[in-house]
Amino acid sequence: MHSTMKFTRCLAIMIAATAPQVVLSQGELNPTNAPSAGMRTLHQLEPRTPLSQQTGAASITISQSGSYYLTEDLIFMNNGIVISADNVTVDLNGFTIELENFANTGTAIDIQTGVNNVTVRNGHISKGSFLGFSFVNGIRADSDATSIRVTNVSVLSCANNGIDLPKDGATFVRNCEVSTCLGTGITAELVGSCTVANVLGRAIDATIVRDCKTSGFGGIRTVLAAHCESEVTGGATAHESELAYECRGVATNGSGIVTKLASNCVAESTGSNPALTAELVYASSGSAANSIGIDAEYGVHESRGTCNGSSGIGIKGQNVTHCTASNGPAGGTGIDADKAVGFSRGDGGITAEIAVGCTQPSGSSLTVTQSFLNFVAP
Amino acid sequence: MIDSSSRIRQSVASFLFLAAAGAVLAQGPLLPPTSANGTIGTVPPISGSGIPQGSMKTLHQIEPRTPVSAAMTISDPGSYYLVQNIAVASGNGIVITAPNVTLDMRGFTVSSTASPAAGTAVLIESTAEQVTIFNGNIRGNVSFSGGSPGSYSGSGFLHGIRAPSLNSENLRLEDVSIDGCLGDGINLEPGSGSGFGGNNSIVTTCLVRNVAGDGIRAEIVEECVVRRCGGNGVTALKASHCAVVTTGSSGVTSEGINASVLQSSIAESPQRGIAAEQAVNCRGAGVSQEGIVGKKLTNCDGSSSQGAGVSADIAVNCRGFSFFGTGLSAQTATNCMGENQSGINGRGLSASCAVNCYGESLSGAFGLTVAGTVSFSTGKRNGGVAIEGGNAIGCTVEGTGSVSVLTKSLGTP
Repeated sequence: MHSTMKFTRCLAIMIAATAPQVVLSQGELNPTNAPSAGMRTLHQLEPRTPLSQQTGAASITISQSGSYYLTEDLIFMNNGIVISADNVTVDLNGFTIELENFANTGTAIDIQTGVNNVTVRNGHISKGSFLGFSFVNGIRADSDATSIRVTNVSVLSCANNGIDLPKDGATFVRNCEVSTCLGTGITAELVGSCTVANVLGRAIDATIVRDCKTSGFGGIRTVLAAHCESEVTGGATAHESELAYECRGVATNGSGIVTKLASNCVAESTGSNPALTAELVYASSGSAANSIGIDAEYGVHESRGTCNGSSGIGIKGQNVTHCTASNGPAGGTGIDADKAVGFSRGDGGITAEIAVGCTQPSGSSLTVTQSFLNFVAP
Repeated sequence: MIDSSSRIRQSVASFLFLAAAGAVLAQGPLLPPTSANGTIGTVPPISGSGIPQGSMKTLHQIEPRTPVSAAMTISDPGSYYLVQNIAVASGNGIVITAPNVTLDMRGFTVSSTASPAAGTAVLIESTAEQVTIFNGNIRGNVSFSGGSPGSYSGSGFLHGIRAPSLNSENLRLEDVSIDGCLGDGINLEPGSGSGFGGNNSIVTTCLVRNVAGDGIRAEIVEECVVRRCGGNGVTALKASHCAVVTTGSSGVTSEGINASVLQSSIAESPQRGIAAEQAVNCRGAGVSQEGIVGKKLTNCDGSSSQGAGVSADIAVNCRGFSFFGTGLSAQTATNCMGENQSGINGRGLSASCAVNCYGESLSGAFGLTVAGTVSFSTGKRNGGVAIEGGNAIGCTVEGTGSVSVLTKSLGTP
């Protein structure tokens, strides 16, 4: 386009814009009529109740049922949002709740006694970025609060618990990250797809835990666990449950996994505790440094237990079948069964009442009352 | 964005100002808006007058979905959202008669005070299919008043969310909490018991409490909690990561979980805890029936007072306890243990074939009963028969019990 033409057009637009009766394309700011079909009120665009910074960083109490959302990061000097009504949804809207005080204090989101049907989602809870002090608790509900859901929330730094909901109240935590807390990371009935790190107490305390990863000084405690990874530094147990399926527990000084039923699990302990302790162990691996690889009260089947120390035991159980076990360079026992060992190999020796169809490498002892079809390498 | 040091200074300054005089809060009251603010009803899409152009957006473009502010019937396909809590004193909340409807509850609550309890909070009619509902609460005042079987009473909805027709296919429900219904909590599959209509329904991350009927019925149920439920807790073709406690209710079946495929779930019931074709990593507790029953059970734990703790065609790495019945009963049991407390027919573990198992009876019939072959297993029944049955290979006894089998070998005493 020719430059003169462009200049002329610009000039025309400027003149038009300075004329008094210009029609602005967005129309009048004031509504001209009652809302009618085709129009939207601003309330309809965002029907939820906004929550914004309070004067003096005072706390916000939600005492009416409804749906609420943050419009900015919120800074509090003590408690943050206190929920005292049923049927409340708080969308953090991607924003952060922060403490700024000269001491650790308050709870970022506090769900009070008897309250039910609360959802908190989508945002962050953090220590003060200026003073560095933390909330005592991130999200906390009274013990008789029920039906609480927390999703997509991260909690950084708490003087006590990260997310603390009653375990028997239909409570649910999903897709949350909690780190650097002096108490428990996450407590709830169901916990899924969460990560917890650098927590001094238990990482997760729940009824069902699935697909979670934890590290720190405390591990996972639950009734059921599936597809979980937990690593512990110090003397705590990495994984405590009743049923463990496809889980891994690693402990430096405590036990890797302590459960009743273990299937498809991997446990390691680099200290002086057993790697995997259970009533029944199936298709699992336990590796201990100075204790027992797998320590089962009853059966061990299709599993492997090792101990690298000089006096430990690879696998200890009542009946052991289709297993392999080894014990370090010297001393100890490969498999130590109260009753029978079948179709297994025990490097470091087998001790049992009955051994059938087992293989022993050279130099390993077979200490059994009754021996059938066993092969001891010369 | 201001940095935190200036924010704290602002906070302190505001605090001082507040102490000196009454502050005007910019955002107004925290109370949710009254009905005058939002009762506009459904708004059809703008037909397109052609005015907004370029980078401009109409309000309709910013929120193109249709707002819902009162109990209504959705009879046109589209995307809808609640703009406030909806409370009714009688009848249904939202009735969906159109196909292809999405309803975002936007964190709001649909509640009823109907007395006696009646209506459905969200009813998916036979003409509706492809319906998605998410993110909200449904409330009545029905509560569990104790007793066994349980007793429920109160005002509110009869049902929470319900699709009573076989025609309603492709239904999805997510992040909804339901509390206090005199009928079912979530029922997306017509029929009864485990007989499903095949509505292709999914329910995820829902919490259901205080419902006198069934808790959740859908083809797939994931990560849900049902507590205080008079009927069946969760009925599904596939369920995972669910926690259920049913109380029973007079004259109805109250199974904890019934699913074809079940993973990592836990259920307690005054009748049967869990029934599944295949279950992995589950725990069921029953009273009058089995703790957990299924064709193939792996890494499962069951307990019962009257029935078997665990009952399966194939049980692998399972543990069962029964006070009066058999702790663990299976055709094939591998690496399992069962315990029985008492009862003239009580057995610790009973199987056709058992490998690497343990069965114990404290004062019942037998520790370990195996009709076929039992190998590398241990029975315990002090003063009685520890192992009873057919062919025992490499088996042992704990305590003072005897072995009573047809043939024994490889060290079996």
